[in-house]
Amino acid sequence: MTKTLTAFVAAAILAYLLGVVFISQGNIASVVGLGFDVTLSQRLQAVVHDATHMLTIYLPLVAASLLVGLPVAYGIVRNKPQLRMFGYMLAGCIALLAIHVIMKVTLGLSGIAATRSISGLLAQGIAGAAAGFVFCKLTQPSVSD
Amino acid sequence: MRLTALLLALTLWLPGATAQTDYNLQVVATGLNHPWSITFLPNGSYLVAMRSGEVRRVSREGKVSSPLAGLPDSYVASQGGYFDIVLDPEFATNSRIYLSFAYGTSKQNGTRIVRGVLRGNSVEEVTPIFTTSPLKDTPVHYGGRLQFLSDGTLLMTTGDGFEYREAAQDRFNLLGKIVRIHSDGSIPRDNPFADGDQGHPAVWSYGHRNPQGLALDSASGRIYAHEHGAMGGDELNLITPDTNYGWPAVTKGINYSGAYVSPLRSAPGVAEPVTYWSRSVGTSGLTIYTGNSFPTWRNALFLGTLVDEDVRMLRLEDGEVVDEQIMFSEIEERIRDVRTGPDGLLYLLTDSLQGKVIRVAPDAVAISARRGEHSSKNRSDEQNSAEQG
Repeated sequence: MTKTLTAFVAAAILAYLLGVVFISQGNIASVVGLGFDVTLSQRLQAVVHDATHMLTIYLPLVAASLLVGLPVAYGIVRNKPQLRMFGYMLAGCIALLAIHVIMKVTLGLSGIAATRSISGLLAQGIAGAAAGFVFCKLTQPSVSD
Repeated sequence: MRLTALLLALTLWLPGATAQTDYNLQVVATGLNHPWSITFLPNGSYLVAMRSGEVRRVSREGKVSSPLAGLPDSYVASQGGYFDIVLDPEFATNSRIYLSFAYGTSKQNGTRIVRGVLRGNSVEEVTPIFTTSPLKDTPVHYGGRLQFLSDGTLLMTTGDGFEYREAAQDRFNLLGKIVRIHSDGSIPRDNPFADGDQGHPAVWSYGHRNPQGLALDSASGRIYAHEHGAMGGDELNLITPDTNYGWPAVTKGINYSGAYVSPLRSAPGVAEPVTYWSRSVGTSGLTIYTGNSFPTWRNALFLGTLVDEDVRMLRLEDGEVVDEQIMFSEIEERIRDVRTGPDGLLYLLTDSLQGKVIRVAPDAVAISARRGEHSSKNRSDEQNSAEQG
């Protein structure tokens, strides 16, 4: 149980941090695309800013989505060890994509600006897939199990 | 809608002492469905445009008419509906009015201006004179404020549609702009991009998010606009043609998610705001007070706030805000519009299903009391002098 909980926390934090990095750089890409210069230090500072300022909004959403997605994946792949990695990664990916799709459908607007584009949306899916990967690795049954 | 001819009975007498001026707040009319703007007819009555998609005439005594006939349907959804209504500078001779509103459908909408001739309780010869392009598929961020300039041209603010923020930097489209047209919708030849080579001919200024306050200082010719920023980026700007106001590349606000819109808070070639609110107050409506009823308020800017539910009085010196006062917070309602009436009084619209027209008048009781106090003080001084003499 402790192993699973630790794995979940690690996965959620990784998904959040990766997601924030993608959001941050996506927003900056939009600014650069408008013809403005953004320095490397401004990019790094933006990541730190966004990671600290999105904690109360985005981290709970990420955690909640993984809290649904990963157990569902467990239910599906527990008797199919060959699909374990793929299942968790897919679940993480869908979980994070679902946040943005649900927001768009319910609000009619994009809650996270960087996900207005397909590439920005898929980047969040990659963050979710990475979370699934870590969760899978950290909950890998040991030989003694 | 319930008529409110009970002006005196309904008059909300709330003596206040904001900015060292005594006033009372008179509820002229209530029960208005999200009133958005008010304009003043020469006969003393008012036209009130409502986001619900109707315009009603309100008498000075508070009697509310049925909706004016002849006006077009609006796309009424979320922030969309009727927006601003203004009179032609030659209204006395041509009876023309101009209305901005959300035009279109959920999939294809934008901000449109129509003009028509006001006859009684109807508007005739209604003609669309301008529509923003491209049309968008979001029911928010329309802009929609109108302002005639002293040369007879008409300005209108437009919003970025929320999902299309980058469009505000594209001079070839009309989202996130202030546009300038003639009263028939044609494009003035002296617009900054009139030849169409460097931008859309109607564009006057660009890089705006959702400007919903626009006012002309007729004494100086200066044009002020404010706009809803993202979280913490509401701005008041001095508007000049061919000027970039930054959105979304340069902004003091951040996304509601907490992430930066942009790490750039200033940049070469981007105009700095006159002032901004680091916690969004929800600016809406703007007037430069030029009346005589409140001499201490003269030439100050008044703007309403939707979030903080008050009015801000800003004093400017040399283009900088030197004082900001919070006023009329006792109303405790979202303020949608603030205007100076031709009677020298200040008029406010509150934003709700039961929206009100509120008139801010000098507090006669307090004034007479102060005069009485002054007189009795004088009498007392005279008495003392006589006794000492």
